[in-house]
Amino acid sequence: MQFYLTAISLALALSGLAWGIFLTIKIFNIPDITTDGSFTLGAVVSAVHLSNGGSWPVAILLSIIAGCLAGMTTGIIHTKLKVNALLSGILVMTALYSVNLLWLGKSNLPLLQTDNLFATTNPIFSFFNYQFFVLLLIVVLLFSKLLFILKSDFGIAMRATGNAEEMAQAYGVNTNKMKIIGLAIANGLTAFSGSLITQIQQFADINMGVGIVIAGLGSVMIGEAIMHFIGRNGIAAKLLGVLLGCILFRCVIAFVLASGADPNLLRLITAGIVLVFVGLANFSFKKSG
Amino acid sequence: MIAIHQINKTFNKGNPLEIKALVDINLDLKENSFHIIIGANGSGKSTLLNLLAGNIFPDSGEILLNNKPIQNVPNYKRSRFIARIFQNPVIGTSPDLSLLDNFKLAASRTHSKKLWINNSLVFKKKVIDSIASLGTGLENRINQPMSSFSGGQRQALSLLMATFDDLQLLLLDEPTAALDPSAAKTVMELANKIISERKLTAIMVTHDLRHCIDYGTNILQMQQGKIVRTINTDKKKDLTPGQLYAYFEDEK
Repeated sequence: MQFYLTAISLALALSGLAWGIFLTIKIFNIPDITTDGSFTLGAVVSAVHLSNGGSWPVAILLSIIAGCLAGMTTGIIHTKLKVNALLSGILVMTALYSVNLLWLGKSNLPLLQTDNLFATTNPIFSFFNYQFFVLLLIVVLLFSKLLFILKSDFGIAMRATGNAEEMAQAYGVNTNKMKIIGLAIANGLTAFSGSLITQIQQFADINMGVGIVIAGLGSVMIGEAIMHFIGRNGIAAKLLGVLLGCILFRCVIAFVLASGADPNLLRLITAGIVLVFVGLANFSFKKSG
Repeated sequence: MIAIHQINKTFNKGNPLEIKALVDINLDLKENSFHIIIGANGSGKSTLLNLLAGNIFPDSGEILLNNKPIQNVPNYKRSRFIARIFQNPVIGTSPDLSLLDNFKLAASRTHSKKLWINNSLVFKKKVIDSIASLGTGLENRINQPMSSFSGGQRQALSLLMATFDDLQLLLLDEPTAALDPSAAKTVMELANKIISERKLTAIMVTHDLRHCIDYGTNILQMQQGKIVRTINTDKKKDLTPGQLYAYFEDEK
């Protein structure tokens, strides 16, 4: 049971990243893989700030700002220099590796005696899993904020930008600016997840973001499949689907590892799980369409 | 109201593929006039419309709106006074957004997009009334995604959307080219009704010579980037399809 609770906690911490990927790939129709870099960036910025005696609220804030700046860089390269979106993301991700290493100073930084969002000395909290409830609260807040943004006039303009760009322009949307803002929000969310993960595991590692983009993509795909089966297509259902996808994804991985699979095969298994869900979704879309 | 002075636009300048799309174009659009532009493919009709919309910018010359130059204002800022209908209804509406959300975007054409959810019942009623004017019962389906409607329905809805907020100029780029004859007729009748009832200034590009006879106050014929013939209101009344066809044949 504890095993699955850990998996779900991990999923909740990664929900920001999953929603970030959802924003770029589903709302803006931009395949952005700055993610690997901005996730580590979020972790590194928090870790460095915390290990220098900083407090966790400032650490999280700095991480989000750093992630937003990384996303903005990708957005500016993509929209102003007209570089392919995928390539823009790869460029920034690659550059971020050096930035992260420079900032971290070494490849791994432990955070043992530092301030931490999940650390509490208050005895009231000793009766339940404090970490889990903090994460749950964060997810509820993120969900309601994102839903509000996407339902607002600004959010409708965002959704039209990825869905019908020429139309959006004709109705007064500066689509290039919108894409830059979208990539900034997405990578800010990703960096937020990076900050949470580094505080949960109490260390930052230069390689912790490698391949993390698949966690987000997998969540989005699984979420889409779930909502397709339920038959809901509203924006709230889509956001909720991504969260459920993220949780299911982590649970399946936890189950596979618990059943004695070789941890070295984790990446192969992860890719396999995503493939199964994407395949399932496409298969059922075809049948019903 | 809208005046075009000495507009020139050349694509691929200084290169073997150079195309003089527009050459010394002058045009004066009076308020409440409905200009119909005809011309063969490559005559510069779409370039002219794109210049007015702000999708492309002229090499030289001026576009004046109420005596203010706007030729360098980008499309998303010109939306404050210019609305557009696209040839392809799939482009002119957002397929994944609901009908109501499409109208929310349409209603914000003339101002900035705020972080504010428009839950106003007055607004919803206005949208429903507007859609009900089509008489097709779509007002009961405002929460469905735009993609669930046919091309003809989407084009009619895009006309309502484009004219939902205030506008000074309506641009129509072959609005019926992608529709079947019956849907095309419905959409043109609707466009004509909106333009005359709201006393709008409009420009429509078309390949359908029938439209020139049935609709509009003026006809402009374009050829190789120039306006080669202008038929004004009084002359237009006596125009026959035969004459119009002969004008077209002249080109060759």
